[in-house]
Amino acid sequence: MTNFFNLIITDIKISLRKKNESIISVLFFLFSILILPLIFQGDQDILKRFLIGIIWFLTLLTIIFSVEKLFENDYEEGILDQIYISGIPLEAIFLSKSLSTWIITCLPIIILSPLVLLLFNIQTEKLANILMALLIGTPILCMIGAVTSALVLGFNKGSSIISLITLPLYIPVLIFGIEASNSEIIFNQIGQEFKILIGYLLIVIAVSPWIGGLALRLKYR
Amino acid sequence: MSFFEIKKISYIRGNKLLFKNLNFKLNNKELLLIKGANGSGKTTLLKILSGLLKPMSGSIIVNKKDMNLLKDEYFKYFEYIGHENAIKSALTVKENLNFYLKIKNNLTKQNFEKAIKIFNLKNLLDIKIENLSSGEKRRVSLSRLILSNCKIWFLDEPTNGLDKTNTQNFFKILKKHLQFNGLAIIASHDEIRIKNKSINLSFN
Repeated sequence: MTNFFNLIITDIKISLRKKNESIISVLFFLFSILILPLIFQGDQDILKRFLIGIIWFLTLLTIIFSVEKLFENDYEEGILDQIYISGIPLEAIFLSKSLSTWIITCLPIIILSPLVLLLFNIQTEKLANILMALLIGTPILCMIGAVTSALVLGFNKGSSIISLITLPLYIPVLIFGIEASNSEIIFNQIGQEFKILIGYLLIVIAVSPWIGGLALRLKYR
Repeated sequence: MSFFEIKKISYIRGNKLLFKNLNFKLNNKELLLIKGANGSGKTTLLKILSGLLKPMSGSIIVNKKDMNLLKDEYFKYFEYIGHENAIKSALTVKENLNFYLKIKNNLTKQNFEKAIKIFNLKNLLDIKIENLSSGEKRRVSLSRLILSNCKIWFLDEPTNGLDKTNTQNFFKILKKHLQFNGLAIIASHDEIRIKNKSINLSFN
């Protein structure tokens, strides 16, 4: 378990050192949202209607960019080999990478999103929903992205096909994430959309480490 | 019975048969040199020996136990320094060594100062790897050998990028390792002036 946390801490330390790389994905998200008024020519109604959907879509894009070469660099530099022969299970390596990506990429987005939405006069009651939906939805996106990255490394070729195959797995998160963000206030009871998102998260947490570990194991056969 | 034994190992890369029914035995204090032309499978063989690749057939016996069945136990027996240095470029030398000390159970902090001294890393400790030369990076990578207390060393072109002094330092620690009942398997194009067994993969 200590090794698992050591891997996460080291990854976070490295991404904080490589400021450009870690900040750029968050800046991409931020600037994309800030230029929206220009795209919609200042039309507040249309902007408000689509804003939450756009936030989810941009979150997905940011995550896909961040996890693209999640394992590749470590593999090419021989670091993944050393971690593997240190006896840490590949499933744990997969999980540590997913978790560190979520902390580095998604946590800033989750924190920034409500603040950005305030700029667009979104009802403050909805902010809690958006925050909750992102908290539940982004780990799912991260783990699906990490599985894709592991499969691309494991199979060595056909990376674009693998990315296309896993793309539909993101869609339920977008659909129910947007629905949950737009749903009625959830303080009294959890909405159906949230239940579905939580269910999907639990399934992904249970299944993805095994698939990710298996995909990485292909490299060691 | 030998401490380390390879029985009938075969491996095919793509459509090319790299080696078929390869056998060798190694005892304490022995060094095996793997020779061969580029692409003959030296690195592949080392990766098979270190459990990073699975052979098509054959087995690795260490201390009378078949290591295909006991991979986690096998990992504790050896230290592997591959072709790549396996060091994180955004971290400093010290942070890299500490990273491996934390995640690898077979490395020990007791030898930290010794490793720094032997590979002359004292002045480099707080420098990021990305700012080091290739020879300096290799020294950082090789210093893991001193930190480890493993009996077996698998080394892929260990002296790559090292200057004369550091190459000599490396051979000194290799000799010492062998003297203290260690054994080593090295893939190298360099001439190694230590008594050794050798196999040439070019002749299969």
